[in-house]
Order: sequence, then structure tokens, then C-alpha cells
Amino acid sequence: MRIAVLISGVLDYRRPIDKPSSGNWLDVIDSPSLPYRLSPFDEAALETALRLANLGGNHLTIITTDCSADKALTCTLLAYKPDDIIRLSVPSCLRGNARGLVTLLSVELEQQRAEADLWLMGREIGDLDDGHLAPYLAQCWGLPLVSNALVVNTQLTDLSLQRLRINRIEELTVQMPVIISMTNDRRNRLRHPLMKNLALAKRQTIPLHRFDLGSSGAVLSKAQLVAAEPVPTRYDSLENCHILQGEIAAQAREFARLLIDKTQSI
Amino acid sequence: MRVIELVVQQSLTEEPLPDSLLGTPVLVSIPVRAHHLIVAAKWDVDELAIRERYCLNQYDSVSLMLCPALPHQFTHEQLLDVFAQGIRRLELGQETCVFLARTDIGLNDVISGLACLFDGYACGTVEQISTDNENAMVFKKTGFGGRLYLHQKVTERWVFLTLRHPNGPPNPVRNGRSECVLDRVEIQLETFGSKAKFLPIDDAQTSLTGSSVIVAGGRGMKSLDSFDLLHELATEIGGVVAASLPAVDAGWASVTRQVGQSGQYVRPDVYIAFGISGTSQHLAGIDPLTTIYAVNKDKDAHIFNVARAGVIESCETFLPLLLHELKQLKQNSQICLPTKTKTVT
Repeated sequence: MRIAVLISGVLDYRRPIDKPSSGNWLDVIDSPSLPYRLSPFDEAALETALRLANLGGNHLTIITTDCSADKALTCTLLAYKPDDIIRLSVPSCLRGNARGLVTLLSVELEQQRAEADLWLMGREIGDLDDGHLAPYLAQCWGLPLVSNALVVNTQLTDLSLQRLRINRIEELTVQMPVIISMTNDRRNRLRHPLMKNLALAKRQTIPLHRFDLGSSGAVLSKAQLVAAEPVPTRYDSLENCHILQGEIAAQAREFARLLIDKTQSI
Repeated sequence: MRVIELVVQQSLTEEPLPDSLLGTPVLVSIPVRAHHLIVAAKWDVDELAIRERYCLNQYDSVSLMLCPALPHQFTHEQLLDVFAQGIRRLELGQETCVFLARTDIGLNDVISGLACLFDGYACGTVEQISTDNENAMVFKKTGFGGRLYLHQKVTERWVFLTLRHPNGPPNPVRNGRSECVLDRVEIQLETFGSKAKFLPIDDAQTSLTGSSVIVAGGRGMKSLDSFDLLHELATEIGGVVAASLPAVDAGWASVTRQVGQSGQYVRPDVYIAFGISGTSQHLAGIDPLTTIYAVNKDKDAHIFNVARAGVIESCETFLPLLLHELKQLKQNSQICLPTKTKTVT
């Protein structure tokens, strides 16, 4: 089985996003110096890919997109010892544009001869996707899609899996080739790479493939990001939190009153 | 511009005709020439009921796509098929169209699949729609884990999107519209994943979406038993239970209960956080207008920076006391707090 996992990465969510020196928040999208890390969904997809690849006789390719320029993250991915890794540099104008990205991804992966029976990715691909890239990709490539998968297992020539829906979990069997987008689940928590593999990975060099925008410019120009601003901090204007004082029983009484007053007023 | 709204019938017993989005604040700010509604339905509904619910001068057309042979709820592959057939029947021509649905697991897939199928633009999940001075559509959405608002100008003919905040006041009946056309079609669907088995989730009926009061637990809850107390508290104050990622990872709550960057986005009036430190990833899943109350034994926990009121105490100690006091107060004043759900138009 040939497995390809698409890894996008997200801007390190533990750090605040600083205003770019240009003053234009849109420039955040194309700041190569900002550190990336794997999103929980990237981790779920990668762990699933690693687990299936380790079953034996399988070929694993990691394809990176948004985070390709981040050397530290690339090293981490290399330390998981995939059979191949393809680093694609995605122009900022393609970020969040499902049609543009899928068009160019298709061309680039064909050039790289990256084929797979199982395409894995996170349920959201990067900072500007909210779960719309995977279904667009599946429809465009004419492949079945299983989104929000919790766990994937092989079953003879098929895959058995569970996927999450708003009010239920569906258990189903699908044939390959298939695109599966993973959501986080305790069963697919990412393992740590071995330290010796990390050390080896630091010595490796992987070429960065740049997209040729070419004739897709017209398509892209029909959808463009024109402005950005930070989401107001929740309580920019909030007074300090009222911390209840006194005996714990008294605090519980006051908190209970507070909850009743608040819920009754809704 | 035409707006084509896609909704799915969820059950026959609770509400055979799903809520529509017409009149939500997102839609009243754009010049719409015609509104169409396509309903994917498993159970047949009386024509009068449809007209009363949807047609009172609000929609120009309603298409009921009826799939009676369906053995279970729709899969998203089937919904894609149903809506594609519904869209083709509308014969929309060259006019600018916005296709939209409420953001939901499964429906996001359908909307994007339709965008590809009809060579339209998949805009993702949108918070606001407006037009600029050239009459081009501008969509406001969040990116970077809810940290930045992004404004995207789109000049495509057909745009497909889901709405994140569809709640709003009911739309007044609009006068001067032509009579609503009702189109009822019975269709046969192919099944996807013939071996599919559906596993119900115990707490599925208490959806986080639309709940006014949410009681959430995090790593500081320490155990599954403590989570049971949260359920009891939620019952007492008419709320529903949610969890942070660590609590889900620990197996104390199902992933459908998870709030945050990697879980659901919620917008209750009150969010009571127990044993949640308040990481940016978790807070990214809570609407900025929500009032937060927090209980955490760490006085330096970030949750206290965003909470309106808080208690510095361990949840294991505090929760039983809180429940006792709540029961006492309710008993003394005979207060009854039913489960609170927001009105969804």
C-alpha cells in the first residue's frame, strides 16, 4: 500500500502573532521567519500514516505545504523516517484558496510522480483552511472522501474506519484509493521521534519545490484576501476577574447564586 | 444575486422541517434578488406545513428533495447527490449565486464538494458577507486558529460557503414577493459504504451548538467520576457538558464534546470552566461575547484573565459544595431551570 500524508502545519499557536513591521496584517501569511508546528489534525494524520506504514510492505510519503520553509519542522518530519518527503512551497496567494491550491497541487504531485492508494491529511489543512480543502480535493480527483476519521485500520484489501458526525459515529469499510481527513482522537496521538533520528535528520537536505503559478493567475485573481486584522482579545475592556473570597462553603454559595442569577436572566 | 440555502431534515419526531437561515444578520446586509431553499428530506411532509413554515413571502422557491427509501440518516455523499440534483432543477443560468448551509460536520464536506462539482468557489466558513463599492462580494472569516479576521474579495459567479454564526432574530415576513414555488421531488440514492454501521453517541441529544449554558471540564477535573458531577451540575442549571482537549484525551468525554481550536466553536451566553487553564487553543473555540466563569486551583491560570468571576480551588473539592448550595438555593426559592437553547432562525 502506498500512503501519502499531506502535512500543512500551522503558525505556532503557543506564541502570539505580532503585527508585521509593514503594518499590514496580511503580511503574516507570507512571513517565512515565523515558526510552524504541527496542528492536532496534522499529528493525527501523521500518526495514522506511521502506524499503517509500519505494518510492513507499505510505502510512506510525507508531503509538506505551508510549513515547508520551516527547517526545524522538516527535520522533525524526517526523523519519523518516511520513505519519501516532498516539500512544496505554497505561494501566499494560494493559501485558503481550495480551487487554486488543488489545481496546482495536482500538477506538482504529478510531476513528482507522487501516487498513493491512501491519501491522509488533517481535517483542516493549515491556518486558512476550515475543513474545505479535503472534500474539494476528493471531488476534483474523483476519489471517495472520508472526513473527520477517528481511527483507520486495514482489513484485507480494504480499510475499516470510524468517522465522526455531529450526532453519531459511523463505522464503515472503504476501498482504496481514498482520501481520508483525520480528526484528533486519543487513539492517534503522535509518537515522539527517536533522538538519533533527529540528529541524522539535521544532516539531510531536501529540495524545496516552488509552485509555478503559470496560467492559474486568472483563477486566483477572482478570489483574493484584501484585508486582515486581529480578532479583538476577548476581554480587552474587561475589568479584572472577580475572584470570590472567604470560606470555601461561602464561595460555593456565592458562586451558586451567581450561576442562578445569570442563567435566569438569559 | 440569488441565495440558495441547503438544509437537511434531521428527524420526523422533533422537527420535520429544519430551521432555515433566511433573515440571519449575515444575509440581511447583501442585495438579494431571490431566495431559494433546498431541503433534503427523508420523511414526507404535508405541503401546507411547508408553505406555512417557509413560503410566507419569504422564499421564492422551496424544493423538497424526498428520499423515502433511505435506510438511515443521510451520508454526506448522498447529500451531495441530493443537493446537486436540487441545484440543477433550479436552472440558475449565469446569475451570481451564493450557496450556503449552516456550518456542521458533514455539511462542510457537501458544500465544498458541490463547489468543485459546479466549478464554483469554495469559500469555507464565513462570519459576514458584504459587498464593496464595485459590488463584489467580500467575505469575513477567521484564520490562524481564530486569531485573525480575514476579508476575502470574490468575483466568482457561484460561491459556496457555510455560515458560522447563523443565529439571529426571526426574519419579518417580506411583502411584495411573488408566490413561493413549491417543488417536490422523489429521488433514489446510491449508498456509500454499504457496510456502514451507525454508532449513536449517548449524549448526542444535547448538542453544544445552540446551547446557552455550557459547563466544561478540563485536565483539572482529575477523573471520570468528577465529570459525572459536571453532568449533574449541567442538569441543575439547564446547561450541557463540554470538555477541553486534555479531558477528551483522558477519555472523560467524547470528542463530540470538545471545545477549542481542534474541537467545536461555541457561543453560549455562559461558559463555566472547571479545571481548564485557558490556553489560546481552547479559548479559540469560545465566542468573544460569551461570559466565562472559572474554577481552577492555579491562581495564575490564564482562564482568570478572561473570566468574569472565578474561584481558586480544586474542582474535586469545590464541585460537590457547589452542587449542594445550588440544590439548597433552588429548594428554598423553588427555582426551575430548564435546558436553555438559543432560538435558531
